[in-house]
Amino acid sequence: MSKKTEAEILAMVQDPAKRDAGFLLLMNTYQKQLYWHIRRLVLSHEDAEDILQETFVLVYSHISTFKGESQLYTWLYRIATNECNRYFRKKEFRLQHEELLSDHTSELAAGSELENSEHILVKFQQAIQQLPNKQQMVFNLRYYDELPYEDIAQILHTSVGTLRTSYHFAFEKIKQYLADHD
Amino acid sequence: MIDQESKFHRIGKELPYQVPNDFFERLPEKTLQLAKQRVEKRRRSQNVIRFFAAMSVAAAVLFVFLLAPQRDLKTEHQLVALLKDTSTIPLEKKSITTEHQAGTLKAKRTVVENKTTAFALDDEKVEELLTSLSDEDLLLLTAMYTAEDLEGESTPENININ
Repeated sequence: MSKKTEAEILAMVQDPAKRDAGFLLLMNTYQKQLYWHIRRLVLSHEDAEDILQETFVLVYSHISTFKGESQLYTWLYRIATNECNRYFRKKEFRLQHEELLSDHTSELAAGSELENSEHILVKFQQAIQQLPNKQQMVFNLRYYDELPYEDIAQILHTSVGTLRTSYHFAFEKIKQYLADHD
Repeated sequence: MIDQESKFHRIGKELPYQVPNDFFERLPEKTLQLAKQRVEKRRRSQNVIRFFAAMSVAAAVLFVFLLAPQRDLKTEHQLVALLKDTSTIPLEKKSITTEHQAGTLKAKRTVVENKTTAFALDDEKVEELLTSLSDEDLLLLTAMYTAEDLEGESTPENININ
């Protein structure tokens, strides 16, 4: 997404006459990225859908407060991440997380039709899910979304140095998990 | 590390999760409707809050206006009571009145003293005059004085010696 396109979308969303069209354009541009960012954290599709909707509803009602000090997509990621954190707190996620992860990954792993490559994917996800929440976020944003550390720092309100360390620890833990479960 | 990274690369970035068909096609319109409803709902609740806030302010203003005359009346009664009670007149006023009264008294005393002096001077003259008179003249004068007394009240100033 180029800066110019972001500016165009913003101009549309902030113009009352073009607001709805601009909002649909914004959603079509960013919804997949944000959906997968949320889905990787909460696992369930239904929960991911609810959080994604809530994220865009917040964007719709607060877009006038966006001053353009950061990039639009980092602002969207920040809202989505905050909504995930709120969801974790609300649902006492850590308690249920183990069960959900266990059910979900077992279900995936038990599928007889799964090919070898898919087994690897499931194992990789299991390895990521062992990480603490913050490390998961850092790893996902860096590994899957390929965001620069500077942007991740804006999304998670953390310093770049801390993020690098966090990513390194996450990487080592996943490596260890894969080695142990080979 | 390099082996693990290459292993990561082999794994790739796919995910073992599935998404319902047409999910991403349906979501934007559905979310837009939800967002509009939410904004409308928030606007309505803000209007309700503003209405109640305005009513509260109006009620407060009305309350103050209703109580204000009673408060004035009370103040007026207090003022009347204060005016009636002279003992509670402020000291400054009291001292001013006393000074004024003292001044008036002083003036009056001066007038009386002057008059008394005048009378004293007149009495001396009269006494001198009386000593210079003979017994016959005194008898005649007494007779004249008694006669004038009967005609009207006389003052020492009215006595015509000659």
